[in-house]
Amino acid sequence: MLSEVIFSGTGPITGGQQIPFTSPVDGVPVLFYLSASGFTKAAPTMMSIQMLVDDVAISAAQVFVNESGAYRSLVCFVQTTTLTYGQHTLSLEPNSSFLSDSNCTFNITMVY
Amino acid sequence: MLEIETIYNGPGPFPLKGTFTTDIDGPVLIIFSATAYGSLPNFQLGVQVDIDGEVSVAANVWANEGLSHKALVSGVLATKMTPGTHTYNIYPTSPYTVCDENDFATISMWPLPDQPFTWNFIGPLPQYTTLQSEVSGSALVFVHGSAWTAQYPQSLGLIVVVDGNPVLTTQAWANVVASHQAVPALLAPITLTPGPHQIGISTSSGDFMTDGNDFYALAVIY
Repeated sequence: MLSEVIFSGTGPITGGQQIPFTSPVDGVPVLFYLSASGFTKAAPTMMSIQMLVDDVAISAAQVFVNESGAYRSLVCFVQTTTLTYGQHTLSLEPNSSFLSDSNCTFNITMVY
Repeated sequence: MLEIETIYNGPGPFPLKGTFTTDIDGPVLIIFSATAYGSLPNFQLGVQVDIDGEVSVAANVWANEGLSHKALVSGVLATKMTPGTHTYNIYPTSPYTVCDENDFATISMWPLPDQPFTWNFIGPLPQYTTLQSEVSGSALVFVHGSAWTAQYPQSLGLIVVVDGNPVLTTQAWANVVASHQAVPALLAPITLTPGPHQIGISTSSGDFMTDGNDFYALAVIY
């Protein structure tokens, strides 16, 4: 099982953030695992970040929060997708409840 | 080829029973992640999944606040799977743990050529054990855990240490005092050589607390 970190950084993460990566495999399942934290100003609410590859939703991380302003970790769904060789773009799309800043860390690992 | 299968990926309420069908025949790693809340403050939140009523793995966190949904620290399980239809049962493990429609769980099954290294334990940190590596080269580490701080704001950092060297860090910002919280689970590659290694989880510096109410999961996948 091989893997590669395709993004590691801090917030803020805003809608439309583009992360280019290269798929080393063709036509076989690939997993993207998102580690993320954030906060909301609209509690109680579900905070979530959707992961899209080439504008197609593939997985998400989310958590329900009852407190505004408190930083929380999100839980990532484990879901494989299929890629073709070559260049692709992964984008992160937080929902309207999700906020992040430089205190929030994000990591995306591609497993294949 | 990556053949990870998802046993369940969806919302509560829990308890919830179901079935899944697999072609896997051999060792697997099961990673179980979930969220929940407590009907009372200052209790351990726990959610467990039983597979075929024979093996189980739990996700836990200490909740200092009642009526507040929490990410639980995932659980990892090394077991064997056989082809065919199997059952799962997801349920809270304490009377004060509640999982409603705003909670969710994800159960994934990772087929592997050999039994993976798995370690679920409670704090305080640091703690170490021995890993017998089967590979030379890249391995995949899954780490998850919780911590708290007496002084905020504070960065809570969990460091995976192999043979005395920090190899991975996952961290979260804490701005609530004396509140246990899960830091983000991290799945990331490391490099190993064959043979025995000391592996464990340590903490970053600072006013960073872990105790017997914190939970940890560590797995190494070859």
